[in-house]
Amino acid sequence: MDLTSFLVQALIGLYKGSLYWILALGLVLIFGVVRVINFAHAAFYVTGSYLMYTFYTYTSNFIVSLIIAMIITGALGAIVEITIIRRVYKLETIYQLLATFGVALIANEAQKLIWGKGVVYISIPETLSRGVNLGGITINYYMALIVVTGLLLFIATIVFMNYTITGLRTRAVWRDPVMSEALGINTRLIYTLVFFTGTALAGLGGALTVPLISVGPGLADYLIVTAFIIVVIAGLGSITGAYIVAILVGVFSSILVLIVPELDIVILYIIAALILLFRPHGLFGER
Amino acid sequence: MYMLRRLRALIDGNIIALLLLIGLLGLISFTGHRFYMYIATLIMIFGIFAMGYNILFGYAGLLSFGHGLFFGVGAYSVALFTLNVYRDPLVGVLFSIPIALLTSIIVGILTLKHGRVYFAILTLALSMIFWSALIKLRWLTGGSDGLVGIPKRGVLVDLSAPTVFYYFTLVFFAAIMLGLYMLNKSRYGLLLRALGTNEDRLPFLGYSTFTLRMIALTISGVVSALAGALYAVFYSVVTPDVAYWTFGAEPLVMSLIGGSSYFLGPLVGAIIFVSLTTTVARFAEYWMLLLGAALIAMILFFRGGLLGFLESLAGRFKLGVYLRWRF
Amino acid sequence: MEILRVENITKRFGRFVAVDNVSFTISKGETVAIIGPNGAGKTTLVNVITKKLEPDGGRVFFDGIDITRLPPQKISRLGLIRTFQVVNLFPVLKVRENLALAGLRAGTTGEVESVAEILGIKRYLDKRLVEVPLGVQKLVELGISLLLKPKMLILDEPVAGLGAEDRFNMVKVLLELKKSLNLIVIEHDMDVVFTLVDRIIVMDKGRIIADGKPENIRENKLVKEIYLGGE
Repeated sequence: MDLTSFLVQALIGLYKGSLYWILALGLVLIFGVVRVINFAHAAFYVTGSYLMYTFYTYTSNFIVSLIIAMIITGALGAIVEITIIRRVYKLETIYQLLATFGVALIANEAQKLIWGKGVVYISIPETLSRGVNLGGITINYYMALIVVTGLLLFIATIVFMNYTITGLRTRAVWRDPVMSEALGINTRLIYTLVFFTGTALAGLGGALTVPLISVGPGLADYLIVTAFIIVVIAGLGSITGAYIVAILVGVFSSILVLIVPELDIVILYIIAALILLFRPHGLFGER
Repeated sequence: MYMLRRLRALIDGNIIALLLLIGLLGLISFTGHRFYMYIATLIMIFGIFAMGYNILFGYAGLLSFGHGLFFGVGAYSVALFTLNVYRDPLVGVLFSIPIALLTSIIVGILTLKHGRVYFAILTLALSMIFWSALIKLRWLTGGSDGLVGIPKRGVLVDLSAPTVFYYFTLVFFAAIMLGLYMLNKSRYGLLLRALGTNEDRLPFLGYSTFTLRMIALTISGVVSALAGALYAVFYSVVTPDVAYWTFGAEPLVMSLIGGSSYFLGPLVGAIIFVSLTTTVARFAEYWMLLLGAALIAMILFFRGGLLGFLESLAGRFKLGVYLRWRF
Repeated sequence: MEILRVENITKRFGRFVAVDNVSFTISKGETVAIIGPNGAGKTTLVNVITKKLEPDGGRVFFDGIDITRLPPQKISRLGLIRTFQVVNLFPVLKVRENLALAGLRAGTTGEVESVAEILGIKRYLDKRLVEVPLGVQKLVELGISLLLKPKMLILDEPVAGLGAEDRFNMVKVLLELKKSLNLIVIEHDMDVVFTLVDRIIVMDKGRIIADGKPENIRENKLVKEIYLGGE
C-alpha cells in the first residue's frame, strides 16, 4: 500500500465523513430537543436523494433542485411529527421508538413503489466535476464542496445554539421541557420546527449524495445503522462529538477498505462496540 | 391437599386456551391437508418466535429491533451443523440452543448496561452487523445465496414425511409454550414483569437489574433461535434475509397485534399475521408498507392489541372475570 | 455501637451544592429524624447514602462496611432499606405480588400474609396496586421494606399526603417498629417527629445546622429562626 492511495482514501473519507455528519446532525438535533430517536431519519435522507434525482432530471438546475428537495423533505418530516410523533410524546419511550420505526418501514416501502427497486443517480454539475488527479483517482471540487458544507453547518449550528434568541429557546427546551413550558416557550411549535429542520438537513445530505453514490433500496438501512453508531460513540446529544466522530468514522472506514476490503464495516462496528463497553455514555457524552 | 392447591394455582384461562390450541393443531394433522398443515407449521414457528420476543418486550419492557439476529443464529447454527458436522436435524436444532445462549450473553454484555433507548439502537446495529457478516463471509455462510440442502432425513431421525415433520414441530411448540407458561407463573415471571413496570425500584429491593435483564434476554434469545432453527429445517434453506431488521420487526408487530401485555398475545398475533400473509397473496407486494401502517395504527389506537380490545369489550358486558388473561 | 457513619458527603448538581460536606454517626437502636425546609438536601442525602445518586465526595459506612462504592442492590442486601417520598412501586402488579417481590429476595415469602395482617392491608392483597388508596400504597411500601428484613430503615416522608386516620395508623406501626430496628425518618410533620424519634438532625442549604435531642432542638435558636420560626 503506497502513501498516495492512503492519502486519497483519507480525503475520500473526509467527504464521506462530512455526509455522515450531515446525516447525524439532524438526528442529534431531534433527539436533543424532542427526546425522540428518529428511526426514520435515514429514510428521510434517502427521500432527499430521490427528490433531488427527480427535480434535477426535470429542471437540470442543481441549486434549485437542492433547495426544493430539502424543503419538501423537511415538510414531510413536519407532517409526520404533527400527525404521528406528537401523539406519542406523553407515552413511554418504547412507543416513540416504535412510531418512528413504523414511519421508517412505510417510507422505505413507499420509495420502492414510487422510484422502483433499481438505483438512481445524477452526474455532478460540470463546473464542479473537475479536480485534482491523485494516483488515478480524481478528487473533484464537488467533494471539497461537501466537506466545506459540513464544516459550515457545524459552525452555524454551534453559533446558532449559543448566540441567538431562538437558539437559547431551543436550548432551554433541550434542557428542560417542563420548565420551558412554564416560561411561556411554545414547545409544541419548537418541536415541529426542530423536526422540520432536522429532516430538512437529512434531505440536504441525501440530495448532496446522489451525484456521488447510486441511491436505491437498502441504502437507508445501512445509513441509519452508521448514523446510530456515530451518535452512540459520540454520546447521544453531543453536537461537537457527532461532528468529530462522523469525520473519524468516514476517514477510518475509507482507509479500512484498503487494508481489509472484506470486513471494513464489521471491523468498524467492533471498534464501536468496544468503545461503548468502556465508555457507556460515549466519548463526548455527559454523565 | 397442598398439591391440589398448587395445581389450582397453576390453572387459568391461558393454559386452557393453550391446551385447546395444541389439541387443535394436533387434529389438523389428521386432515392430511397439505396447505392447512403448511400454515399451521408457520403459525407454530412464528408463534414460538413472537412468544420469545415478548419475554423481552412485554415482560421486561425492552424493545429489540434486532431479533432477526437470534432467529438467524438459530437458523444458521442448524444449517452449518447439519451440513458440516453431523447430519441430523434433531441434533442440529438442539445444537442451536448453546450457540443461542452464548450469543445472548455476548449481546447482553454489549447492550444491557445502557438505557432502553440505547438497547433499541444497539440491537438494531448488532443485527445489521450480523447480517452484513452473513453476506460477506461467503466461504462460511454462502453469502447472499445462503445455505441450501439442510437435511430433513438424518442419522437419528427422518422428518422427510410432512406429517412427521409436523409432529416434530408440534412437540417443540408444545414444550416451549408450556415452559413459557411455567415461567410466567414462576418467581422469574413475576420479577420480569416487575422489571418492565418499574426497573429503577428493583435495586432497592436488592435485585440487580442487569442480571434480570440478562435472564430475560437469554430466554428470549434461545426461544427465538429455536424458532429460527425449526424454520431452517422446514424450508431446508436459509438466507441472510432472516437476520435483516425488517424480519426482526415481525415478532414485534405480532406481539402488538395480539396484545403485548397478555401472555397469549404474541401467539394470537402470530396466528392472525401468518394467516393473512399466507392466504392473501396480494399483500406480498405492499407487505412492509402494511406492516408499518399496522404498527403505527396499533400504537396510536390499540395499544392493548386484540386481547386488550376483547377485554375492554368483556368489561363493558361485565364478563371481565372470564377474560382476565393478562400475564 | 455505631451502625451508620456518614463522612464528609458532598453532592453537587452543576454549580448548585445540594449536600455540603455532611458528617454524622448513628448508633444502634437510635431513632433519628432528619428535618429541614424544602431544598435543604435531605432527600439528596438519603439518595446518596442508598446510591440512587453517586456522591461527589465523602464516604459512607454501614454496619462496619464501606458502602460508598457499592451498587444499590448490594446496599439493600446488607440490610439498609429505604422508601421513597412518592410511592415508587409496581402499579400494575397486585399488592400481594408487590410484597412477594421482597419476600422472594429475602426468603420471607411465608410472612407476606402476616405482615399484611399487622399493617392492616390484608383485604387489599389481591387488588392491583393502582386500585388501592394512597394510604394503603404507603403501607405496602412499608410492608415491602419489612419483608426485606432490614437492619436500618430510612423512610422518606412516610405520612406525607395521608389523611388523619392513615397518619395515625402509620405512626402506630412505626412506634412498634422502632423497638426492633433502626429508623431514620425524613418528615415535615413535627408532631410525628416529636412522637417518634430520640434524636433530630436539622439541615439547611445542604448543611447540618443542629443535631441533638428533640427537646434541645425545640429550644435551639438557630433552628427556630430558620425552620420552626415561621410556624
